[in-house]
Amino acid sequence: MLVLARKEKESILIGDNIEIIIQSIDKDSVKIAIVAPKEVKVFRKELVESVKEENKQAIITIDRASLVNLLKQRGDHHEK
Amino acid sequence: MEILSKYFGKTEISEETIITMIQPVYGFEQADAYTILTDSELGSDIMWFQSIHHPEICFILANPEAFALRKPEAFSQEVLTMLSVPSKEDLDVAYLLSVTDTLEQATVNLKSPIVFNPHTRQGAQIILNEDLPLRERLFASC
Repeated sequence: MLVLARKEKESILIGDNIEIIIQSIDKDSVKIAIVAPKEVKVFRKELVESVKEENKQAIITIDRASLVNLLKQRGDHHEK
Repeated sequence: MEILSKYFGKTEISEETIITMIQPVYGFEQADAYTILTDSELGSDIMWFQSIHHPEICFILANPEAFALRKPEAFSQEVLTMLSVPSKEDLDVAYLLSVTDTLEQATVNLKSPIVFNPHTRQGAQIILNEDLPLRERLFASC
């Protein structure tokens, strides 16, 4: 891993078309501006981690017949 | 072709039904090809999103219309470009359903839906910018 020291308003270039700019530095947070092509996805890491965790939870733990039965009992899911 | 599903067993599917995930389900990057399996009693309200190559990777998709779930207000231009469609109306949207024993606890993930281009059969799990819950009760009245 590469570690660089940067001051406010300084930036880092990644490849030819990604720029990370340190906009401002507070006591316990840093404001970062990111200039990148539209196809580069930029997310807060914890958001992606929580989506992954939710996806793991969504891997089926109920068998098909039980789910069909539950929904049929409920019965009202067709009402709009 | 024949595929193996943990929930449907050996199942014959047409290769034309295969959906290629351009952006795979997050955390399940090893699976990029899926098919949609349905149960005749539920029609397209609930669909099983089965990996072609990984029998144990199978999600449940809820059709937003069937459960009166709100649909995303907008997709970013990147999403439209990624799936080669001119507008939001050209994409099908489904939500991952998380359910264990009872429907009362069942939740849908509105924040990161699965979207499809029905013509190219390409799909993606996207993370929306809108402030939406990862866990919304399927039945709000419960």
